[in-house]
Amino acid sequence: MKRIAARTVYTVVVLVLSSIAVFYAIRLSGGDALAARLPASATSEQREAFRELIGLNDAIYIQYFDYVGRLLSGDLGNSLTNNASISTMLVDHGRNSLILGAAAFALVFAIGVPLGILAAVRRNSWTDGGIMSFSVAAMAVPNFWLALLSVWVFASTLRWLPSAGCCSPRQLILPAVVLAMEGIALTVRMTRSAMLENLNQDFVRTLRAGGLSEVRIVGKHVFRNALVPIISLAGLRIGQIVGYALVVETIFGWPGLGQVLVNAVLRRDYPVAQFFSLVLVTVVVLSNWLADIGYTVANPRLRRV
Amino acid sequence: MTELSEAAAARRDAWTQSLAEFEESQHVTPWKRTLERMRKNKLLLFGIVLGVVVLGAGILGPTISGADYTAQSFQNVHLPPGSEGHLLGTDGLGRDLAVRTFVGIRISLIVAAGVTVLALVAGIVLGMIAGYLQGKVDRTIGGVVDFVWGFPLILVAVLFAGGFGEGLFPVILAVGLVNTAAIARVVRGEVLGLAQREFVEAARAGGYSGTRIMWRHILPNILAPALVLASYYVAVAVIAEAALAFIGLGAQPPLPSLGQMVGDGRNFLRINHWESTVPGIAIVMLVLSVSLIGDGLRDVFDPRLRHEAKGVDDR
Amino acid sequence: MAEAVSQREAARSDGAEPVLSMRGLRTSVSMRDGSVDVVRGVSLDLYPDEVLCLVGESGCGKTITALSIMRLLPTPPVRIREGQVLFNGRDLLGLSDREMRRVRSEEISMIFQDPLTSLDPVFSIGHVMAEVIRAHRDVDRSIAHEMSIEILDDVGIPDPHRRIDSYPHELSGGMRQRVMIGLALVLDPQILVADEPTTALDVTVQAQILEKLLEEQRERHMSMLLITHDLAVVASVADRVAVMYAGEIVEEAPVDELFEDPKHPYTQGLLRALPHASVKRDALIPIAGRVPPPQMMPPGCFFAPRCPDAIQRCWDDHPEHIDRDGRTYRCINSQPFHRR
Repeated sequence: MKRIAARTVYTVVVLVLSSIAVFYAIRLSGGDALAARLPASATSEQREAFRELIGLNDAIYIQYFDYVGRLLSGDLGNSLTNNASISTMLVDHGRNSLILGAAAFALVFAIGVPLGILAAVRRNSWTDGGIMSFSVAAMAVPNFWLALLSVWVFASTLRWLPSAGCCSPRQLILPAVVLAMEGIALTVRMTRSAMLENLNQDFVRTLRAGGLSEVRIVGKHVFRNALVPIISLAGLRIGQIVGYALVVETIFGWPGLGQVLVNAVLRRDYPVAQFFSLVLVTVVVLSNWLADIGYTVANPRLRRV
Repeated sequence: MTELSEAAAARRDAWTQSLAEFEESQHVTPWKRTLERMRKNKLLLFGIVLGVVVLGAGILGPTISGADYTAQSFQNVHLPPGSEGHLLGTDGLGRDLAVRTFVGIRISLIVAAGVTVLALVAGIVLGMIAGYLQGKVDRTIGGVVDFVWGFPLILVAVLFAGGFGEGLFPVILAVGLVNTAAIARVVRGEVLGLAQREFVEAARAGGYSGTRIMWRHILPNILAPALVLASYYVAVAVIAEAALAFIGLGAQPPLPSLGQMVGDGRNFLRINHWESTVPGIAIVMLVLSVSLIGDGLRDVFDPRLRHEAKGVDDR
Repeated sequence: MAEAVSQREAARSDGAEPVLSMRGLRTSVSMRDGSVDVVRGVSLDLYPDEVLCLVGESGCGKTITALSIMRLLPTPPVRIREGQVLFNGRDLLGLSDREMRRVRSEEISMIFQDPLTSLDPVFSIGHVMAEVIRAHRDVDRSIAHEMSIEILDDVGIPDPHRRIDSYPHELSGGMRQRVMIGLALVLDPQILVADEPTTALDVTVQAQILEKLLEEQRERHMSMLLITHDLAVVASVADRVAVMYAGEIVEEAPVDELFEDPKHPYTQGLLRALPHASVKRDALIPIAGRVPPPQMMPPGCFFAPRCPDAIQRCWDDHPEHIDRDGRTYRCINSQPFHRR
C-alpha cells in the first residue's frame, strides 16, 4: 500500500513536469508561427502588438499557468486549421482511438500469452521454433510495411477487407492486427521466457512431490508465477500501442488521437499539437502507473511487507 | 595403518597424473566458453553475416555505386530492377533506387545504431553512477530514468518534432534520450544487485578504490545485459525512424529514408512494387540482423533459456 | 490414521520385510560430451518404523538417489538407467505417471533443503496444502482447510488459523520448513524422505526441526530416509546409517556400531575428521584429496586414491559388498579404527 501511494505521488509529479516540458517545447516554435498567421503586410509594430495581445511576451511560466487555467475551466481552444473545437475533437477522436487501442491490446494478450505458453511447454520442438521465428519476423517487419502489405493482400487483391476508414468492425480488423503485431511478438517472447524460468524453480519439484498433475502445476502454478513479469509490463504495452497508433491511424485513415497529433505537427497547428501531446503523454504516464500497480498486485512479495 | 605398498603407490601416482591432465582439458576460461557458444549458435552467425552485408551496403554502397541519389531523370522513371545502369531500378522521379537504398541504410544506421552506441555508453555511465553511489544521486537519476524509459519512441519523436520542427534532429534526440534511459535503468538495476554481492564487499575491504571496483568487477557483469538490450533498442529505433519518415516526419527530402521511400512507392504497389519492396526489404534485413545478433548474444550469455540440456557443469 | 500406525508398529517388531527396497539403481546425467553415471548400482533397504540416514559429501549422488525414489528427477538430462525401487511389492520405476502421482504424498513424501525456494511464492500455504489434499482425497474445501490447520498445529506452527493464509515469504526459515513437513505429512504417508532438511537453517532452529521430525516419525511409526552430510545429525537421529561415496554405498550399519567400529576407510576418515570433544588433539585431521569427477573414476575401488590403506588389489578390482554380522561394507583391506 505504501508503495502504491509513493508511486502515485511520483506519477502526479511526473505528469506536472511533463506537461510543463511539452508546453515549453511547443511554445518554443509555436509562438512565432502564431504571429506568422498575420498577413505578410503586417508591420513589425503590429506583429509586436499581436504578440502582446495573445500573451506571447509574458514570461513562460505565466503562459503555462494561464494555459492550464484555461484547460481546467474547460476552454480547450480551437484548431488553427479549421477552427474546429478541440474538445469535440477530443471526444470523437478519443473514442476512436480507444476502440482501436482496446482491440489491439486485447489481441496482444489473447494471442501473445497462449503462444508463449505453448512455446515454453513444447520447448525445442518444431512448435517452439515456429512460434519464435514468427515472433522474430513480426518484430523485424516494420508495421507500416505490414500495413501496406496487408492492405495490398486483403483489400486490393482479395477484397476481403476494406483498406481504410472508420468505424465498422470490418474496418477495425486490419489496423488492430497491424497495431498489435509487435506487442504480440514481444509478449510471446516474454511469456515464453517467464514460463521457462519458472518451470525450473524448486517449488515445481515440491508440487510434483505432492502428487499434483503436470497440467495443474504448469497451468496454474507456473503460469501464475510467470504472470508477474507479464502483468508488470502490460502497462508498457499500452504506451507502445499509443506510439504505434500514431503511424497506424495515419496509414489506415482511422481518425483517432494519433492521426490528429501527427497532422497537427505536420501542419503546425499548435493549439491542437499542444493539447493532444499532453493527452497522449498523460495516457502513457497513467499506463506506466497502472503497470506499477499491477506489478505490486501480482507479486505477493511486494504486498503487505 | 598399513604401509602403502610400492606398487599401490605407483598406481596412485599414475592415476593422479591422468586426473591432472583431465582437469586441465576441462579448464576453459569464460572467454573461451563464450566464443565456443558463439560459434555454435547458427542464428547468431546468420545474423552477423546479414549484418555485415547490410553494414557494407550502407557504408560502402554509395561510394561503390557512385550514383547521385538526388539525380532525377524523367526519361527513366519507374524502371524495373535489372535495367541498364540501375541495378535495382528507379523510382517515380527517375532516381536510382540502389544508391538511394544504400544511403537510406546509412541514415538508418547512423540514427539507430550510431545514436544507440552513444546511448549505450551514456546509459552505462549513468547507471553505474546511480547504482554505485546510491542515495540521493541514485534517486534523482533513477526517477528521471524510470519516467523516460517507458515512453514510446515514436511519441517522443513526434513531441520533439512538434517543438523542433521536422527533420532528423528530433528523431535523433528522441532515440538518444529514450535509449539512454532504458539502458541506464537496466544497468542501474544490475549494479544495485551486484553492489550487494560479496565480492564487491571483499574488494572494498581489500582497499580497492571505487573506480577500480567499477571498472574491473562490475563492468564486465553488466556489459552482457546492456549489449543485449542495446541491440533490441537499435531494432526499435530503426523501425521508429522509418515509420516516422513514412508519415512525413524524420528525414526530409532530398535525404532519402527507407521509410520515406516505402511511403513514396505506396501508390505504385500494383505495378512497380519494387519501389516500396526494395527499401522495405532493406529495413527487414537491417532489423532482422540486429534482432538475431541481439537474441544470439542473449543466448550466448545466458543459455539457460535455450536449447541445451541443463548439464551438470552449467548449473 | 491410528489403524495404519498400529500396523506399522506391528510390522517393525516382526523384524519383517523392508518397506522400501532399492536394487541396483543406476542413474546417469548427460553432459556436454556424453552421459555419465552418478549413481552406480545402489542397493538400499528401508525397514518399517526406522530412521535410515544416508550420509556422504556433496556430489556423491545421495540427493539424486532420493529423487529417484519418487521419480522427481529433471528428466532430460538425468535418467534412471537400471534398477528397481520396490515399495510394497511394486516396482515404482515401472508405474505409470498417474499411479506414481497417487503414491507421492500419500504413501511416500519428500521434503527438500531450501524451504524458501521450495514453496510457491504466489499462493498462500493453506491454498497449496488444500490443493495437495484434494488431489488425493475426495473432500470439500472446508474439510481440507481443517486438515491443513490441524497439521500445521501438529508440526508446531503457532496460531495456525491465521498463519494458514500467509505467504511463504512472510514466514521465517524454520516455520517454512515446518510447513514443508506439514505438507509432506498431511496425508500420513508410510515413508518420509528428507533431503538435508536442516542444512539451510540457523543452528538453533536445526535442532528444533530435527526434534520435530523425530517426534513425527515416532508417533506415526513412519520410516524415514534422512539425507545429510552432517555426522552430528546422524548421531542424533539415526537408527541405521548408509555411507555413500562416488555414487555407491560403501558402508551400512546400525548407528552405534558405525560410530564405534567403522569398517570402511572413508567412514573412518569422516569420523576422524570430526572434532571430538572427549579426545584432546593438536589438529583436525581431514581426509586428503577430493572426490574425482564422475568421468574420471579409478578402475578399482573409487576411494583408492585417497585411502591410507590401499593395496595393489584395490586398484585392480572394484570391491563388492562384504556382508558380515548384519553390516555391509565395500573394502577388502579394512583396518581397525583408531581415532588418532
